[in-house]
Amino acid sequence: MADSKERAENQAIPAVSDETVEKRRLRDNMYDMITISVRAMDRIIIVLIVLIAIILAIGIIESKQNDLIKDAGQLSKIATADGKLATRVDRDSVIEYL
Amino acid sequence: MENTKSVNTKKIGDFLLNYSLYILLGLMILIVISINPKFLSISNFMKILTQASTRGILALGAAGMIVLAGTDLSAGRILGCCAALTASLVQSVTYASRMYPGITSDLPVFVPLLASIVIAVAFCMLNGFGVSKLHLHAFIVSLGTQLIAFGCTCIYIDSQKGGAQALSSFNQTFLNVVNGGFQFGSFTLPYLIVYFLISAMFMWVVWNKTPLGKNMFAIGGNTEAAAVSGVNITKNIMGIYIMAGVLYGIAAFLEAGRIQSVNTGTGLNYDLDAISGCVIGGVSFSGGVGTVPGIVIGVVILQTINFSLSFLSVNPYLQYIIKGLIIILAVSIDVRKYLSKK
Repeated sequence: MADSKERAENQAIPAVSDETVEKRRLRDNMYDMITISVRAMDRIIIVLIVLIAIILAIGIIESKQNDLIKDAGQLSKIATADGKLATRVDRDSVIEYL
Repeated sequence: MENTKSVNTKKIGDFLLNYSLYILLGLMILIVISINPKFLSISNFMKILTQASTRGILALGAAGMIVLAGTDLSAGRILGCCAALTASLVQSVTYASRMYPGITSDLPVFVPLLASIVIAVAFCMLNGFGVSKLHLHAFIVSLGTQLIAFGCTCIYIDSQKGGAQALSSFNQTFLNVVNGGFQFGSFTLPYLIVYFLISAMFMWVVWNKTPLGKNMFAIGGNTEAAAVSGVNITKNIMGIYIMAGVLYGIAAFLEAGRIQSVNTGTGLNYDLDAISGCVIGGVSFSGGVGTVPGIVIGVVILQTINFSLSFLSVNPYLQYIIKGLIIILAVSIDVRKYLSKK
């Protein structure tokens, strides 16, 4: 008797799909406060990737230029070895020269 | 036919979304290699892994808190505090300016290790108590703990007879335990990497094969649902924080030996590196999502980027900007994944 009552109660509970369970799990999440659309998020991601690429490129170009300036500094030291050593190299003129 | 096509496109889209960060960072590393092929050497790879090891152990601890939908800003300063304690206990007895002149023979290595773990666990229990019992946000509690740990480190280092000088000159046994390695012919596998791998394997078991790990994901996914299902929230949160404390203590012990000179600045920004490694490795700030292999890969990728940018002599200020953007990108991709699931 008790078994049949329990069975009847269980049958009364509607079946819940996995998708619904997942959606319920995602409810009340901190990310729910984000009201932005997927497309807008995609654009933000692309902008970030482009920004990283630009800054990386700037960093690499700058380091290459610094290497060239260092090399030029060595050359100027050799060139003036008989007299005073060159202590400072004008960065822009070296870049322009190279 | 069209259905198959759209399913394939969706699959490719999902794959790109899930692995986009790895692909991008892989590309970045390829660019570095193409600019300077010398980057691709075993010695560089070993250096990267060695540098990543202590931060990796720290990240494995901090990841638990992120899975619980929290964070830990105090990890770095707790590491600094415990590293100072370790350093003071392992100073060579022949060093005249050592912190404890009363110690006349080298202490067994497990003593400083235990001391470091005990202090780290105490700080983490403070965090855990604030989060689980007082229901404070982990961000605020760990911010407070960070300042407390930093204050304690400064007082401890300043309490030396000679004033606030860096703690250095460690005994050889300790240095061998931390900086030694397994010799395979001409190749040396540093112990630090082995310790990192053992910690990762241990955490994998805890996360995937124990009730604590299962409950951690349940609490992180939905605390209320976990509580209704009979999970003891307070006990499990405290368990995760204690586990993190043990890992912080081990990381501090190893870091002291790795850098061989501990001062008040030790541990600064390590927490941010650990959190970045977790986020890059796929641990979601929304809680309930994360894997140990992901964290290991995330930490190694982050360290590779750090190392490669320094290797190319990129301006350090630009390095900060690049790292910051990568973290924002990682979180953005995480949010994007969440939005597409909703």
